[in-house]
Amino acid sequence: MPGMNARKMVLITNNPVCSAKLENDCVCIFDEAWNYGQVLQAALRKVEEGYFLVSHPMAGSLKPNQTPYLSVLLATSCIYSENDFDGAAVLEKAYAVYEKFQRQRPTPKWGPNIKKDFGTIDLSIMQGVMGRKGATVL
Amino acid sequence: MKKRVVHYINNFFAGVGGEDMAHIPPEKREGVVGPGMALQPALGDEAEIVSTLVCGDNYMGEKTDEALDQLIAWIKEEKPDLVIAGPAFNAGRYGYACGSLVKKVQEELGIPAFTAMYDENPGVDTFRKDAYILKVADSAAGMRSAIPLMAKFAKKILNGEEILGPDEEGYFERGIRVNYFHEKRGSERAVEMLLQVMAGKDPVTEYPLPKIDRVDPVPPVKDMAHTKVALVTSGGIVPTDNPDHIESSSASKYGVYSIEGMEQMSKDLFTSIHGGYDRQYVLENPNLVVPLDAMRELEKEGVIGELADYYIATTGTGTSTDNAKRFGEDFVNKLKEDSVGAVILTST
Amino acid sequence: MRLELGKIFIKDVQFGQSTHVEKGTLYVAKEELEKLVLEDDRIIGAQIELARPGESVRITPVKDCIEPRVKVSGGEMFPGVVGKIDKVGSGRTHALEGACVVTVGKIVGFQEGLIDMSGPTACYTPFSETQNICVVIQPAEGLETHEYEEAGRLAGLKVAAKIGECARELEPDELVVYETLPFAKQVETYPNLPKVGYIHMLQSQGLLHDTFYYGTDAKQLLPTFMYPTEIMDGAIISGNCVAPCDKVTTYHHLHNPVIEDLYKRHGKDLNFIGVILTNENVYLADKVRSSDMVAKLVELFGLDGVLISEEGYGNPDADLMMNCQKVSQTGTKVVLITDEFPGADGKSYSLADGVPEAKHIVSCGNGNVIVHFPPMEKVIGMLDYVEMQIGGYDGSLKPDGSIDAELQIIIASTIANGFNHLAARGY
Repeated sequence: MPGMNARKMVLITNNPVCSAKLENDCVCIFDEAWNYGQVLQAALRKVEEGYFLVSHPMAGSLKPNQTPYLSVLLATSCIYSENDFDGAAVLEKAYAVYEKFQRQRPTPKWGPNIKKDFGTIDLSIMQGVMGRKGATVL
Repeated sequence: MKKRVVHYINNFFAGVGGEDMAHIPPEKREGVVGPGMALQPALGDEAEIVSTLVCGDNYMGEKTDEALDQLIAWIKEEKPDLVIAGPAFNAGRYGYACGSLVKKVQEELGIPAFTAMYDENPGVDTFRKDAYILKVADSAAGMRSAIPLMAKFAKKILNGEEILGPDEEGYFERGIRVNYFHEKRGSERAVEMLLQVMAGKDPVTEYPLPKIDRVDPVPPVKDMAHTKVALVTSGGIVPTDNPDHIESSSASKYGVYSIEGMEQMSKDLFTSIHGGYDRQYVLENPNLVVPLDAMRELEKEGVIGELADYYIATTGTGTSTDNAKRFGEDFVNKLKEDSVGAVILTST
Repeated sequence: MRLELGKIFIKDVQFGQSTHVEKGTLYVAKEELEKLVLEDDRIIGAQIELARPGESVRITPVKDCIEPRVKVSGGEMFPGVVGKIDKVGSGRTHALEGACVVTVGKIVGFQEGLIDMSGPTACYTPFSETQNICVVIQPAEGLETHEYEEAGRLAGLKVAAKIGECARELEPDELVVYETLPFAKQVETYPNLPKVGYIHMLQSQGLLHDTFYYGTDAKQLLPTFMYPTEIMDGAIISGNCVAPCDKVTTYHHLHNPVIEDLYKRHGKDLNFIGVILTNENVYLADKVRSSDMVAKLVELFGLDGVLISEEGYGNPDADLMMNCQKVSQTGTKVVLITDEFPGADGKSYSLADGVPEAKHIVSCGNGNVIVHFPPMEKVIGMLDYVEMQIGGYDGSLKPDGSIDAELQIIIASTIANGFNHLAARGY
C-alpha cells in the first residue's frame, strides 16, 4: 500500500537489537557494519533528501568513542519549526563531536556481552522517543 | 653552563632593507643581530643567543616549506634550549613567519619556542593554539617594553619554572582548558555572576563560547538565465605584474581586474601570488581558480544571463577575518552598482 | 513552604548490633540492612561494607550516593518511590549529615563511577569526605537490564531511608530553616530585590538516564514550578548513571548547591522565587516544547534572573542552549553552569552546542583530563569493569591495581551544578 510507509518514522541504526525490535514500527535502514559516524552520515543523507530529525543524534550522553551503537529517527514531516532545529546543522555538530572523541581515543572493539548492553541502552532511548510521539501526526 | 638560544627575525629587523628586500632567502648569522642586541643583556649571563636566523617575509610566505626546512636544519645544528621569534608587532607576514617557525620547532625538534605579537596581528589567531605568543605593542616603538617581557618569559622556560595562566604571564590564551580548584564552589560563583548581570554589569565568563561568525545563506537565485554573475576569489589570481601589490599571505587589500572580451584566463596575462598552496598547475592554467572558461560556456548556453566583465581577487591565506570582512563590505557596493545578482566565490 | 532541616553530624561509621547514633558515630546493623536489600528477589547477594575518609579504599562501580534522612513530620522520605506519595518540602526532616549510602555492583551500562577515599584523586569527589555505607549488590543470573537498574536504585534508597529512621528522635546538632512563601507573598516580602529562579534540568533520556520526580519519570514531565525545599526534601531521586563525572546523585539533589547558595542570598541580595523543573529529552519536539514552557514560566513569574544547570554532555547541551536562548529572549538575565569536554589536549570546543546568548557561563572543570590513581589496599566492589567504565580505556588498569583514566570516571567530579570547587580556565 503506497503511502503507508510515509507515516512511519525512518530509523537509521547500526544496532541489531534496535532494528529487530522496531522493524514493524519504523522503516529501518540498518547496517551493522556502520560505525557511529557512518550512522550520522546516513542520517545526514536522509536530511538532504528532505527528511526531518525526530531524535537528537547525541542521545544518551554516551560519548561517541564509548558506545559502538547509534540510532537516529527521522520522518517525512515534523511538528517543530525549522527555526528550532536545522537537521543538517545538528548532525554536522554531532559529527564534529564524534571526530573530536575519536581523535582522543577510538571506540574500543567491545566483546559481545558489552555490545549487547550498549545495544539495550540504545534501544531504550529509541523506545523512549517512540513513547513520546503523543498525538503527533506523522 | 650557559643555556643556548636561537633568535629569528625578518630582513627588516636585521637591517637588510624593507619591503624591497622581503624576498631574501634564509640566512644564518653568529650571535646577536637587531633586537637581539637588547634581548641578550636582558637575558643575563645564564643564556646566550648563539645565532640569529634571518629571512625575508615574502620569501617565507611564498616558499614556506623551503624556508622552514632550512631554518629547522640550522636550529637543529645549534642544539638550542629555546628558540625565540620576533617580536613581530603588527606585521602580518612577519607574524605568520614567526608563528610558522615556532610551531614547527616545537613539533619537529621538541624544543621550546615562543614569539610575540600585537593583538590584531593575524598570526595571533592562526598560531595561538600552537605556541605561546606574548602580547606586545603594535609597532617597533614598543620594543623597549617587549624586551623585558620576552626575557622574563624566556628565563622561566629555561629554568623549567611553571608557566602560569595567560594573565599572569602576558601571553595570548591558547584556548587550552586547564583544571584548577577555585576558592569558591561553582554554584556560589554562578549566583555572584547572576547578581552582577542583573545589576547591568558584564562579568567575565568562565568559558567563552567560540565566536562563530555565521552568515545565513541567501535564498536561491530564482532566474539564473537573466542574472548577471561575478567571480570573486581568495585564490590570489592577479595580472602577472600584480599591479596592486597584493600580498602573498595576510592580505591587506584586494583588486578588481578586467576580463572583458576574454574567453579564458591566459597564463601569460594572469598568475597566482598565493603563498598557501602549490601553484604549479594554477600557474599553467589560472582557470582552475578563476573558472572564466567554464563561465563563458554557461553564458553562451544561456544558463546565466551574463558574466560581469571583471573579477575580484585577494589572498586568503593568513588574512584576518576582520580584513576579509572589510573587503567584502567594500566591494559589495560595486557589485550592487553594476547590477550583479549572484557571485561565485572560489577558494583554494 | 517552610522546611526545618535538623542536621546530626556524623564523624565516624561502625558496625553495631542496632542502627543508631552515639556521640557522632553512626552504628549500622550489617545483617539487618543486608536482609532488607535481599527482600528484592532480583538481588541474590548483598554486602554492607564501610569506607571512611583517609582510608586506602577504592569503591567502584558506584551507582548512586544517598544521604540517610528521615521525615519527622510533613510526609515520607523519597515520596512515590519508597515512601507514600505526598508533598514534601515542609515540616521537619532530620539528616545524618556526613554519612552516605553508596550503591555498588556489577555495571549495568558502563556509566558507573569510582571513589577513592584517599590519595591524589580523593579531592575530586565529595564522597571521599563522607562516612560511607556501601551496599554491594549482586543481581540474579540473567536479570534483564532495566530490572537490574531498578533493583539497584531501590536498594540504595531503602537502605538510606532505613538508616535515616534512627535519626527520628535525635536532637539535631544544627537546625536550619528554609522558607519560600507562596508566589505573591514572596514577591511582596522583598519588593526591592531582584526576583530570581533556578532552572533545574533533569537527565531524562532513557535507560540509565532517568530521573524521577515524586516517582514519575522526568521524560514524561512538562516543565513545572516547584518550591526549592521540595528538592532538598527528597522529591527528586536519581535513576541514572550518565558519565560518572556528570552524575547528579540523589545526595546532590538533597544538597542542591544552587538552591543552598541562592538561599544564602535570599532576602539580602535577591528574592528566591522558586525552581523550574525541566528535562533533557531525546525527542526533538519535546526539546522545543520544554524550552518554550520554561521560557513561558520565567515570563509568567516575572523573574529578573535565572541560573540554569544541566546533567550530562551532548544532547543536554542542546537543551541548555535552547533554554538559555528562549529565556534570554524574554528579557530575563541568564547564567549557565556546565562542565567541559574539550578533548585530550584541551583545545577543542568544550560544549556540543552553543548560542550567542550564552554569554555568562560558570565552568565546573574539564572531564577529559587524565589522572593517575595509585593502588589502594582495599577495593569495595570490583575493578573488573574499570576499562569499560566511562573515562577508562584499554590499558587503564595496571597489574598493580593502579589506574590511569580520565577524570570522567570519578563520581560527580565535574558535576554541572557547581557543587565542587573544580573549574577550568584558558591557558
